[in-house]
Amino acid sequence: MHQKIRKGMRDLQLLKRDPFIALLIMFTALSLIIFVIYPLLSVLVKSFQTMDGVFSLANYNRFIRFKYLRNALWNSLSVGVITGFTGVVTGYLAAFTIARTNIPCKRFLHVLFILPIISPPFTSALSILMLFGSHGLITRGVLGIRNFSIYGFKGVVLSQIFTFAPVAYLTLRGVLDSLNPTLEDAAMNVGATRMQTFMKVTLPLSLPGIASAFLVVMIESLADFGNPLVLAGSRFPMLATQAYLEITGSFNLPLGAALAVVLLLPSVTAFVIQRYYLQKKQYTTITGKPVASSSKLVSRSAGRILYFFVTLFAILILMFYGTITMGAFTSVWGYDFTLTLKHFIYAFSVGLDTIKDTLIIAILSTPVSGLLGMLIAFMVVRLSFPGKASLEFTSILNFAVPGTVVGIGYILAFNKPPLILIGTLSILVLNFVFRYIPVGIQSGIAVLRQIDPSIEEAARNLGADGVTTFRKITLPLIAPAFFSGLVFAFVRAMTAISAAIFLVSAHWNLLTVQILSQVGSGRLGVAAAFSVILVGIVLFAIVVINRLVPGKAGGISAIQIQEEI
Amino acid sequence: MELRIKGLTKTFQSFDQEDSGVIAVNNVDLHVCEGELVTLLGPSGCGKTTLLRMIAGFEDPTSGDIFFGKKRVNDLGPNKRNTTLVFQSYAIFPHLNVYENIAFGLRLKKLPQKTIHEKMELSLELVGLKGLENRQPSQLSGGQQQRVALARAIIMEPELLLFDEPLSNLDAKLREQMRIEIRALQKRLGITSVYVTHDQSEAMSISDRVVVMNRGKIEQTGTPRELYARPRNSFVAAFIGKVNFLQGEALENSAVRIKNKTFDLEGRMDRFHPGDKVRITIRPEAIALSQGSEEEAGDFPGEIERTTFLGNIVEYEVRSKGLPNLTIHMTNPVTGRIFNPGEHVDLSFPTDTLHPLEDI
Repeated sequence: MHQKIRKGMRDLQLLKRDPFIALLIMFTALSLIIFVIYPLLSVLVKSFQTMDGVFSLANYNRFIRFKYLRNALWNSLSVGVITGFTGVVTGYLAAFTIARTNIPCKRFLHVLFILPIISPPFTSALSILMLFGSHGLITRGVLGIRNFSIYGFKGVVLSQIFTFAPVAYLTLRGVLDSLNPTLEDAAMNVGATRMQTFMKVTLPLSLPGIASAFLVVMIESLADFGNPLVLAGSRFPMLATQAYLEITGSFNLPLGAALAVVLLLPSVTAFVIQRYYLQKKQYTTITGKPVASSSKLVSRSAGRILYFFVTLFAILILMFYGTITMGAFTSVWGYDFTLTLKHFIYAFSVGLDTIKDTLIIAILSTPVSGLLGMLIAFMVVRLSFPGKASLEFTSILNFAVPGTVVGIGYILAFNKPPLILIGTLSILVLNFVFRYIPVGIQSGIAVLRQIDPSIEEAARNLGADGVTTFRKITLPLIAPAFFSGLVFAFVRAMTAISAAIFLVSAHWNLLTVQILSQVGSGRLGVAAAFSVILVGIVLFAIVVINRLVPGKAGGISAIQIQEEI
Repeated sequence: MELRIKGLTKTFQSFDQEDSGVIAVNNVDLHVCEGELVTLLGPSGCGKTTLLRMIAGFEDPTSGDIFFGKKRVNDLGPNKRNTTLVFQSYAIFPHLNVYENIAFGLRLKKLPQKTIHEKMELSLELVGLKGLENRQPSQLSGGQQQRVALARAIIMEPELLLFDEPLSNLDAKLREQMRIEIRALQKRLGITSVYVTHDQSEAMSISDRVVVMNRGKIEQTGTPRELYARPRNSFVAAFIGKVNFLQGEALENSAVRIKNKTFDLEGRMDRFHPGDKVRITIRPEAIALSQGSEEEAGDFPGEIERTTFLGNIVEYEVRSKGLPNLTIHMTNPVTGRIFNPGEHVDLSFPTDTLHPLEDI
């Protein structure tokens, strides 16, 4: 203990030499406390209060007494586990097929598989509603079924698989790509059959990655708000949406907060396991030398089965996006399929301000989030100061905290002095900044670890102070990671819903919220039109950033880098 | 400028066990004179790089002081010390071209463009990089990158120039050429320099003085010649060149007995009392091998165990009863006779090449 204090003192001494850096660290720590910790604490405190602000266990008591609240937890968990499992199986099959076979159109399939990642998180819910809902194209139009209900467990799981299997796909693609195929060749060389090689080499080596992908998908499923809101229905309560309904429907903030806390526990547990246990166990057998992938792991017949599966998945994704595009141009989905532009005209007349708001918020929050992310990554990798581990943990904590919890935290924390931000532009921007820095931080850390520290030392040695070194040497070198962080932050800011839905106001509204409210009032065509506009803007932005930044920095590959980390 | 180091110690905390740190540099005193090139030589992990990094300001001493001239620099950051370092990995900024790399420090000083350009011309000339100003680092060979790192350091006209194993990434031929160039450049500019290496021939060829380090401590400081001829202890003797260790016993009047022969070491045995055990060294090339003639019978008889022809020398391993196996070098073997394994030979130890060590 004594040693630790001494080390802390020495670190402080070092900071004294570079007062600007010390200030920067304090500024970062302070903003993390205000915009990450304080809202979470507010939720926790509120959950132990009555409506009048008196301390009480009543909310948790209600949770135990009322079946629909218990069900909400059970439903969220079971959907999370099922989605996690199915998503990972789907993702692994797709990743394995693309990494280890010669399937044609790899690039196209890859882009198709990660399309759901850059779409609003409830795009698949919308298309499922259009295909299998009460006026669904397939259920009613093709099959003629009238009393089929897609709402509830099956609907939510189905749409979440399509939303989150791509996340598993990207994670596992990274895992499989970093496994040296020579290991498989070696196993077969000593007489293992293909099946034995897969079971005894490939699968065990990718197991930590599989477990990690499972937990990540589960965290995202628990936090998911859009799909349950559209597809869960009233008889299938889920935690994230129930917390929202308690607050906006019954104005019961304390109970909403308590539900948020209940939702937070499994998410953070899964996150801690994923981050501090599984990540250390991942095998990376990459050597830096390019390895010719000579693996003959997949036999011809096994290959056919895999091709079939991957093609099926690709067709389903295409069908979902095709449905939305068609819906946007169709007069009344389910009844009148004449082509029309009226949804777009309507969308632009009611929604033009919303589109502008969304763009302003995304454009403001993206660079701030990117810069802050790189700054924190730099601090974590290159500096030594007291409390560094806590700073790192806090800065990436928001990855695990469901958006609903963050949203409730923000309305609780910033509706009273000293900071009243409710209804302003700032609260939305700040929320996005602190919600999406974890990804920027993670990729920044990964890139910084690859830069030889002596390059920065050389700059110091030639007379540059800490800030100049960061500006002239470090920043240009981490620019690719920085720009891919920007793309990611932008995509997320454009498509986010779960936290933002608590923070929008009459003055500042978001496209995603607009889409959900159109779905809520049954205007599926308008919702589809808005979705098409939103995905269009995102794709356009990715292409633009891709053009502006040379090399493998922006765009689709950026998102790939992001998710792999 | 002269460099003075007093009682410098660096302890690294280990995070696993509390209170048990690793002592990287242990109470080191060092004095480097104006214009001198001093090499820190030692095996990896001996603390030489840590010592250099403390001089540059990248590590903070646990205790002790560093003086540049009369100024104590302990509390100055690396960017505030008027010293530049040539890195082992070169640490060329990968996003800047040759010109921008070399001009980096001068631009930070906000010197006028014209001054920078003049200095640049001179430095490029000195290191032989003219015409490559616009190349990207990725377009340079290892030797050229080395020259960029060197130019970037000397263009700053530092009071103290530091080298951290600058040649370890080059192939053998280029290494020898570069060390000659570095030495010539250092002499011409007259910059006080500290040079870290683990290669003893590099240290010998480049230095005014060599500091041999082991386990964080200085074992011996001296000119290359002193260290080779008069190593203080077994570590220094073995680290610099090849050596044979012999067991002896001190006698009266600075004589020493090895096996059954007595040698007069002429005043080099003052430390010892009669009867003391003494460890004596002799270099492989100092032992003379002969055969046959009776009146010139050597000090000991021996038998060749192994013969290795190396071009400029022949290396023999010779067994002699009562002595450890000896390594012997014969120069110019092309014209002379080469002994074969199994042949009997006579060994002669010239007394002035026998050197007693301080340790046993």
